[in-house]
Amino acid sequence: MTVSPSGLSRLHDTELVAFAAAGGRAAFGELVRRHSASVRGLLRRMGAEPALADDVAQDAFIQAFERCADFRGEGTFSAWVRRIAARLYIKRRQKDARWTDLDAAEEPDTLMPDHGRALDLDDALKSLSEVERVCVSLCHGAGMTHSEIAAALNLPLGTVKSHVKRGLDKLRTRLEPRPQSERRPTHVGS
Amino acid sequence: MSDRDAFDGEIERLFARPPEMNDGELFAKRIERRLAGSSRLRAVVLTCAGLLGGVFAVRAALEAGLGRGLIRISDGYSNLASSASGIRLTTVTDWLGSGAPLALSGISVAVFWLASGLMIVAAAVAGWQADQA
Repeated sequence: MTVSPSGLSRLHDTELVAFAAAGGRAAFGELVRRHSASVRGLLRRMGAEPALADDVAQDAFIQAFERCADFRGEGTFSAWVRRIAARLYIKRRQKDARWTDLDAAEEPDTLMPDHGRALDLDDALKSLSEVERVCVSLCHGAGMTHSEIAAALNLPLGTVKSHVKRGLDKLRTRLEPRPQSERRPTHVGS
Repeated sequence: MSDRDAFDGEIERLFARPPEMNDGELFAKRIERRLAGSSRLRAVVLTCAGLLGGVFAVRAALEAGLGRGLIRISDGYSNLASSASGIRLTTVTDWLGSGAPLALSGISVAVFWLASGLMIVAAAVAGWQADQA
């Protein structure tokens, strides 16, 4: 069965995955159009340079196409590909000698929070150490559990938990720089 | 719910919002090109494997004397049938004359090659059509 490109844009992800599993490259192309920003964005948030992020994202999509039949639809297609991409990125970076001692990586230069404007997530992530950034991104961006992250990064579970916690604390400081009292919404008439 | 839990939700919401990418269409095209390339490569490899396998199969069949074997089976069946019923059946050997084994062997080779070639062409066309789908 052939579906026109305009017809593909109206289909749900699960239907497109079914077409792709039968070898439909056009259907898979539509899935890539829908979710590439999310996958590439996650990789950049994990600390990948744009070129490397795009390279890994391409490999992740190719792998997803070949494994479409394995997609059970338990989560979203986007989350599934993000997890594939995150694992590929970790594998690729683990070949890098610097990554073999990820846990001992240096802290980035401290950026002072700018109280005059709200930082976005991508700016805020720059204040995290590499391992914190990766752990927080895997946990909240790729939806991986702490145990899965520990296994993927070859780190003890407790270490991963503390990296996630510390990373979130730093993000909180960056993203919510104003004191608690200033952040409370004011209700008229209350 | 604690403030920390609320912040966790906020972080997930922020992560769910992808950054702006202006080259999304270009990226998708690159992946489609890679998929097309790997699919074409797979079709070529499968066709070559089929071709090689077919050639070896035909060669092995000919070396095993399949053509002459078929003639012997045909003659044997004819003799058996005529002795049982008294009816004389025309065999391939009768039809081709005394030089039949050699002649039929030559025909068999040609037929085998032709059939193999046609099957390979059919497989290649089917593979190409599947690739276009």
